[in-house]
Amino acid sequence: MSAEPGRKPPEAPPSVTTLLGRTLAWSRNRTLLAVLAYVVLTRLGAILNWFTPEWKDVAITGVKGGMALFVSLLPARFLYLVSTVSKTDLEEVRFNYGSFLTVARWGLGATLILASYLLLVQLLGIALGWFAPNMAAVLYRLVLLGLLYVALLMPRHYFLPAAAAALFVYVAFGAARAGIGSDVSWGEEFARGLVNATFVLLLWAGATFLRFVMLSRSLQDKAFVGVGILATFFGLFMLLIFMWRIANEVGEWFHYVPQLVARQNELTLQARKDLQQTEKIRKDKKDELDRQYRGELIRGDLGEPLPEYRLALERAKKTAPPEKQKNIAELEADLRGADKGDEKTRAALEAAAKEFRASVAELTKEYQAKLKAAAVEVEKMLAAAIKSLTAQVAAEPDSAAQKKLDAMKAVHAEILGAADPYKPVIKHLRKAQNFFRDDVELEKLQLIRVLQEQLDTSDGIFLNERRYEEALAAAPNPKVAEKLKVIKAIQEQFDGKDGLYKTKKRYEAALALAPTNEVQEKLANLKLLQDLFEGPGGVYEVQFADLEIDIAEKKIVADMPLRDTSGWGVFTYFLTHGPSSQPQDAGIYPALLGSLWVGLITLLFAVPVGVGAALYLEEYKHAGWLGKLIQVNINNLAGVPSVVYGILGAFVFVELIFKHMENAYPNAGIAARNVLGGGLTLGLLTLPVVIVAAQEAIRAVPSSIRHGAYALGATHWQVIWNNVLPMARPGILTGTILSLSRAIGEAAPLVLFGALLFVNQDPSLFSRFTVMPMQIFGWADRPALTFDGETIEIWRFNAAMAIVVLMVMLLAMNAVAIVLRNRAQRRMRY
Amino acid sequence: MHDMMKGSRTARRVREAIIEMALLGCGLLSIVVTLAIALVLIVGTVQFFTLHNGEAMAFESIWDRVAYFFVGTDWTAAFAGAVYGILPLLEGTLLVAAVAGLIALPIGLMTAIYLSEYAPPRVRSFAKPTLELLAGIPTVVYGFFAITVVTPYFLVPLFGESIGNPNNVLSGGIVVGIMIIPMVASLSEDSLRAVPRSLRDGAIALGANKFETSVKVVLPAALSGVTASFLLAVSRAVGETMAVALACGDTANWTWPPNPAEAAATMTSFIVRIAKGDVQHGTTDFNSLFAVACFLFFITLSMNILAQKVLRRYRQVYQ
Repeated sequence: MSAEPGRKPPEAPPSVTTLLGRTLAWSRNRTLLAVLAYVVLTRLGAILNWFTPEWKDVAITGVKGGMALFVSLLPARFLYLVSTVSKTDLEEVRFNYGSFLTVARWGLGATLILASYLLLVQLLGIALGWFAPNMAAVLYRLVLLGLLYVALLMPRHYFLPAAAAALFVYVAFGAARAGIGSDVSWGEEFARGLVNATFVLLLWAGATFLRFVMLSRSLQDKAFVGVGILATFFGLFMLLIFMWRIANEVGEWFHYVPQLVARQNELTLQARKDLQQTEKIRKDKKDELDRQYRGELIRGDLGEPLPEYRLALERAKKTAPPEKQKNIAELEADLRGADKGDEKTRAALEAAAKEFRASVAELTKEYQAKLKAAAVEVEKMLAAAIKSLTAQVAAEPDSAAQKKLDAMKAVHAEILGAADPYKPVIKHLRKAQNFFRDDVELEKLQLIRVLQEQLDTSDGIFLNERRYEEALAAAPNPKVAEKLKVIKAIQEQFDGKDGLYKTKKRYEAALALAPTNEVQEKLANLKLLQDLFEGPGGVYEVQFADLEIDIAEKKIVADMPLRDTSGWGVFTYFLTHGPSSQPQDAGIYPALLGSLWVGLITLLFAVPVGVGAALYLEEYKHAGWLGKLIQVNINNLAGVPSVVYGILGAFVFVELIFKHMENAYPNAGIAARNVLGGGLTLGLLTLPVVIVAAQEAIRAVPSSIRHGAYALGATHWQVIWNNVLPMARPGILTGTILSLSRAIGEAAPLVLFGALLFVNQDPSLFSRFTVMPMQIFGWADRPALTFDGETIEIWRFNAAMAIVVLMVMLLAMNAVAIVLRNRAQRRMRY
Repeated sequence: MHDMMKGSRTARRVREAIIEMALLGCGLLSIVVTLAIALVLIVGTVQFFTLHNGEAMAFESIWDRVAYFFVGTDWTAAFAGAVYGILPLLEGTLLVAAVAGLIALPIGLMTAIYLSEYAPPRVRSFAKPTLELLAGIPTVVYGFFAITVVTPYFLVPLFGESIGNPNNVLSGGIVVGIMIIPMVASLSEDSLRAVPRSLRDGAIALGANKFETSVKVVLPAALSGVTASFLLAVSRAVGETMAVALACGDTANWTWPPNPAEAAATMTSFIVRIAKGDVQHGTTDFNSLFAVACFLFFITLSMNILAQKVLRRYRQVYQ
């Protein structure tokens, strides 16, 4: 059996040459194996990845590598023989743990083997130009293969030390890599190391298994038990890794989502603040515009509506029908309020006007004095001008000059004759301008004239503001400035809430009660003005357009509710909300409900039909060829891919039935791709599974039960209904729930059916829907997002959360199934 | 119960007949479903080959299109002048099935042998539910497993940058393999356990150890059942959808020799892509879905029929 020639234990330690000879002899049979192992193992990556496209390269590499391995094998074998020199055959090699020297020799040997291996393969790799772009990956592989190689050489009692060494090397390697400054975290390196170490152990176990099978029949069984256990629990192992990963991702979810939510809360708060500010800006602007508007109303000579309004009201009171009297009373009350406001304002204005007049009188006096002085000067200048002109006319007579002289003399006489000499100056100002051209004096005179003219022609108090401003500009005067302030304040009051701004309403009311041309006209004017401000394209719209957009944008963010950032808070949010384009806002509520709905419909459809079919197949055996056909058909249906069921469902339920219903009853709330259709599609999918499970359960019912019932005179159906079905119930129940959990986990048919990914409504029988697996599918596929320069697989974390919820749901269903089955079984003990 | 006893004999007979008819209806529904599936797929496929609503077609003749469908190496749906050759999709599908088979068949078979021949009852009672747990995990979760664990934590460390990340056929095949392990294991175990005890006793009497008995006597005796389980499992791998759609990507490309390190569309992932995308109903791109599904349906159906045949043979031997 063993490849080694049987030898007797040597009496004395053999010489070095003997050992070398034995090494060569041993290696002869292993050369081919070594070459093959090398080709397969070292070039596995190359073959899979197609590093080097040509097969011949691979072959050459393999042969060369095999040779290198073989060469490196020799010293290893030699060292091994040295360490176990007193033993005879490989299968009986026993390691002497007590001997320190042997342990040391073993360690040295292993190290040397590893070193020579690494060196040789590395050199070979360089020589062949085989360098993966990622140096670390190459090293990983080398270490891995080196360990495998060592494992191949070790006797089986080294299994555990070698496993430990493998684990250690990988963990240390990972730690070292993290220490060097790799961009992956230590924990991740550790995890990767663990995974790789496990992989090594698996390879190790495989290699050891091969070796045992090669060596000894007596070990075969034990070896196979090990391999069998490994194979059996491979799935469990994968499941554990997956659970670890999911737990990790869920942890990340709980780490990042509260952060993102907090960030969003901050943004919302900021937006709220901004919004307040912007709204204040808008209010200020509006106030200002309102004021302007009111000013326009007043200036537009619409400031005397009250008497007319009152008149209209009086008239209306007499003529209006009784049902309108109430309105009139209201309007009167309104008017009284307005009157009061108006009276007060008017009184204030009167007082202000009085003071204003007094101050204007003062000003007038001042300017009169100035004018007087100016006029005296004018008189003097005029006298001088007359004198020179008289001399000029006397020297050379000229009719035009004579005329001018006469005029000057007349004015002069008037000035001399008048009590206030400036009055004729003003009166003949134009003429006087012809006499002389002193700009400074003239300007002063002109201003005084304007002021006086205005004062003389009008005492309209509403224009005072402007006049004062003009007066102030002409001659700065603290008193005038003060007055102006007072008047402005009063005017403000007049423009206030009870002021004329309300006029329009009153006009409208008056017009409704007693239409008159006058009121109509005034109202039209007001409307015109109002359109100018408030109408489309008016002052308000133009001025507020940008602000309104800004506010609307901010409002969206500001209106978001502030969310709880605790772990429990985000989790409950996730469970109770629908999908969203923001990962931290997304939830699974509609998907969860959709899954439950669809599951319910599947159950309601598949169980009766499936059990019925199973009963037909099992209890009506006389069905003959038809039953056989159905049976074969069911077995084949069970193997049809689920996508095909999706196509069937999409065609039958959507295209043939619900699309027509949707078009025929557009208001009935029937969606073409609705819960009912989806549930029935999954029902068809699970039907064969349910039938087979039910068949098995029914078949397990002993026929003695049936015979007993028949003997008591029961009909066929009575036997089935009262005896067979109750006994088969536990089995049917288990099969049903298992197939139901498969249906709930199934996404492919519903993708084909056209269930949507983004459904934000709670599903009902005929509404659109989504289910949990679809939601997971949608999320798992989405790319990572970057927040503040940090790339986070946030959608993937969402998917992991949804997976946890889905798995909990399925586990709960299975638990329910087990409990129900146990109860049913307890009741059914025959 | 009592009211059922009431009524004349004829009435009872009529009732029984009605019930039997109703149950027969339930059974016939499965046949109707099969026929409906075949009808929908065939009608869709015929439409795909014959109708082209004013779209630019690469081939004028229908027969050219049909021929290209089976031998063409380009699948360029969603492009102008699209051609539809199934080979790239078939390649992806077969690669996934091959990788899955490489994982699931040895492991599943070893598990089956261990559980039926070696395992003490306690281990069995623990191992079987564990395996069933694997079978109960939704397939989309397996897809998630592929892109979040298998590719980044197994394949990238092993093969470096040259592996497609996150989408590659290898990871899809691995998870599908894990998914179908329970199927191989339980079906194979059933057939191994069905081998009569006398065969084992005979082998042991001849001096074989347990390993030799299992591998050289029991396994050959149960070979048809094991083969059937392999066929059914591979057919499941061929028809598997969501895990593959997530793990393998959806770009149809023909590479020869096949490279499992790259992303590639399979027939099922292509169907999903068309179904979830914005492809309009009735276009040739959409109808190509039917042709692919039809092809898939006939592959899996023939594998299933083959498996049933093999299984029936084994039943005939030992019953």
